[in-house]
Amino acid sequence: MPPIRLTWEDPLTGDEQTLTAALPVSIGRAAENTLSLNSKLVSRRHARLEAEGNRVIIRDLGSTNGVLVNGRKVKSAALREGDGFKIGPFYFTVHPLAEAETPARDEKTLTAAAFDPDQTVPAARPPRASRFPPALFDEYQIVPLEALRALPYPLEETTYLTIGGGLGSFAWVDHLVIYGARPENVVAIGVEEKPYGRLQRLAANSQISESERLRSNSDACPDNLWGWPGYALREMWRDLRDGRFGHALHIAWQLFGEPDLAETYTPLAGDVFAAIEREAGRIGWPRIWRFGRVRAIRKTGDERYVVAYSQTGRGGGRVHKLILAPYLHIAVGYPAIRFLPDLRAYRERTRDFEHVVNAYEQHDHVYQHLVRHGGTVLVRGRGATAARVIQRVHEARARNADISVVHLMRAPVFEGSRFGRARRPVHHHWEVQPFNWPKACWGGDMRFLLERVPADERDQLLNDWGGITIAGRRDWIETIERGLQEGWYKIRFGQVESVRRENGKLATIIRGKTAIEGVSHLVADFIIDATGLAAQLEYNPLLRDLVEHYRLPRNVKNRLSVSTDFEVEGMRNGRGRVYASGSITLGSRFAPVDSFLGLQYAAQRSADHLVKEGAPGLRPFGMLRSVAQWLRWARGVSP
Amino acid sequence: MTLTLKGRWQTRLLLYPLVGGGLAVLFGLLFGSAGAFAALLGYWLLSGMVWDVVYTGLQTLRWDHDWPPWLALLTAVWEVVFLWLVVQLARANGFPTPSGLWGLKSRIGPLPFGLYSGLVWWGVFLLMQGPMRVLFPRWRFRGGQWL
Repeated sequence: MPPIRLTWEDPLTGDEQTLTAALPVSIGRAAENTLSLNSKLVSRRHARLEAEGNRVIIRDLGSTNGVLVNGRKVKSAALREGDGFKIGPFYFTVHPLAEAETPARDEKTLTAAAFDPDQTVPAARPPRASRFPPALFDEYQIVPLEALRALPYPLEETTYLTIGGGLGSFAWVDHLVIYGARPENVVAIGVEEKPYGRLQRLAANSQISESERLRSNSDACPDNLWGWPGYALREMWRDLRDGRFGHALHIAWQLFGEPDLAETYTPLAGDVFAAIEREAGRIGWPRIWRFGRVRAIRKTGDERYVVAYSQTGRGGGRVHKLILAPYLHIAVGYPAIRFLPDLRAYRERTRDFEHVVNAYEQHDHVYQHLVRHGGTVLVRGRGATAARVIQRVHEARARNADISVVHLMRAPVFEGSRFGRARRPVHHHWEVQPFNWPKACWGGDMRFLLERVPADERDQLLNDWGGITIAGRRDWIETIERGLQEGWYKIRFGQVESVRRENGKLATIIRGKTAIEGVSHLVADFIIDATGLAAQLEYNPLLRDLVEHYRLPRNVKNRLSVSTDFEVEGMRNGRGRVYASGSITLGSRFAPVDSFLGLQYAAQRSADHLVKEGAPGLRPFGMLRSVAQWLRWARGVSP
Repeated sequence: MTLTLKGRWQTRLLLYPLVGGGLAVLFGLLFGSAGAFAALLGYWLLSGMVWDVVYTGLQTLRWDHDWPPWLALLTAVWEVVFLWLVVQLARANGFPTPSGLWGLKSRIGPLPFGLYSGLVWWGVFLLMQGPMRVLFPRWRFRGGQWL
């Protein structure tokens, strides 16, 4: 019997994992299994794959939560190649049982598309590396200053430099300036002029206009490091001024009763953007930010770092520059949009970018077409983005009732995630929690717990606390329930075999519960991939280079390992320090890294750390300074 | 709020005396003995710290490990009612020491009792929603610990 090859996705990050092993293969939570899976929903000895004749059989070893094969709960079943099975939050695919080990890398590159904010359609490959950064960047671990001076590129200096220029950079800069750094000693390099630019675009593409609410809390304010007054209070104040007393009262009730008696308060996207815009002006962001694509980071001989970046020159050509700084921060965000392999394969084969779209691409034409002509949309993925897409289709139905949604999930969810004595609720196969992590991950017992546990326990906690969830928003849940009742929203389970064009429509060929004799067609006019964003370091050329060049350690989720102060310790260079925040650090000692509040927390920890390290211009941020700075914030004067 | 046990204790120890102390003086002027209100505050503080252990346990039953305002109000009402019952019971059975249970010898009527405890809770709650975050910018990330 040849070895079997399984691929599965990390339940938190969606990263693809591979196992090639000879049968039998035991699967469970305990370490002695061939494959040990870190989740409370997996029993210690959960299941076994065995050879029976020339067939592969999966057997449930009396697990608590069972084994689902192609969406159906089984005690034992024969697996064929292409079949999918689910154990706890892990979804596996069985691959050709060939002797040759196919490298998993090729597939990995197919599961996502590099994210280029200049394009509405993601580029197929990251941009090719040119001869910039210069060759000596490859030659040295620590680049001598004289060698840099000899290069034909402008060489600038600053004290604090953040790379990314998005909300992670903004939170860091906001803290530094409030802690005492002078704006002229701070530089932010990025491609978006507004710190909220990318978020705004992704939100708009995924159908969250400025008058929609973000899945964020009232006191997660990127424009105010104290979180007070929060967005709820500000909105109430505006309501009172405008005479909308009922709405103000409604918000007060939300704050009092959330999330049990009332729906959790969430801020309007437009309010958040406007508030950040105001704070950006207050701290001098326009003078701090500059356009640039960062190509490489190296340690220098004088205990600093050199950052090589490119700008678009006046004639449209590239201008290359170097900048030195002793204190660096990396917050480049998600480097890629996740794209399901079968959909990507379809797009590459047919060049049809119109009918198969990603929820994070501009795809308004789908809804416009549906309103005009009616039709069916097939939605893949089940996070908040999928919920918003379904709600958006529901809105379109108000103008044309001849629109329906098929929601294709790979497997049903019967059991919510578990932690201690608590369990996450499930509605119609959607797991529900107000934000993308349990609330105590930001500042409660769960944050403390994650900081102190060893790595494999951390992996399990992250798997059980995270994962794909939606907020218990009444408009979302009600839309789904109405849709199920009225029949225009259907949930189907199955593993996709392929997607192809048939009679002017898109046919998704699936195996699974709905399957008749193994294969079934789901016909739709459009397919929307709402599986989210990907943050593998490999997708970002800058990070890939940095991690490889300095052999930086990875954390349990294969992202950048950072300390509790969000320092990339492997990058220390004398007094020089490098910090990182955001999705690229997921898997270190703090869970909600890519949230507004998480970015602020990271900024606070690293700013406090810099103060301790004696970084120039920064002063300890104690009670008196905090109050004084808050008053300046309240009056809208610069720090 | 996602308070931890340490956070609950530290926040209580800081804010109850701060808000309750001033109010005790005021209520003393209005309804007689400020000492009685101060004593009430002291007993509330101590019994509250015991209740905090219970709340922290109950909090872990919630998926988010959070403690929203409606629960905070509910538990505060319980704490005050409990305190009232204990004081009444103690009074009915005679105080254990000749001098009375410190400070509680002089009587506080149900109205001043309710009003005082209500105002203390409201004051503490409001401080936690805003000013505490400004005074202690790390407080909200540390489960309510300010030390």
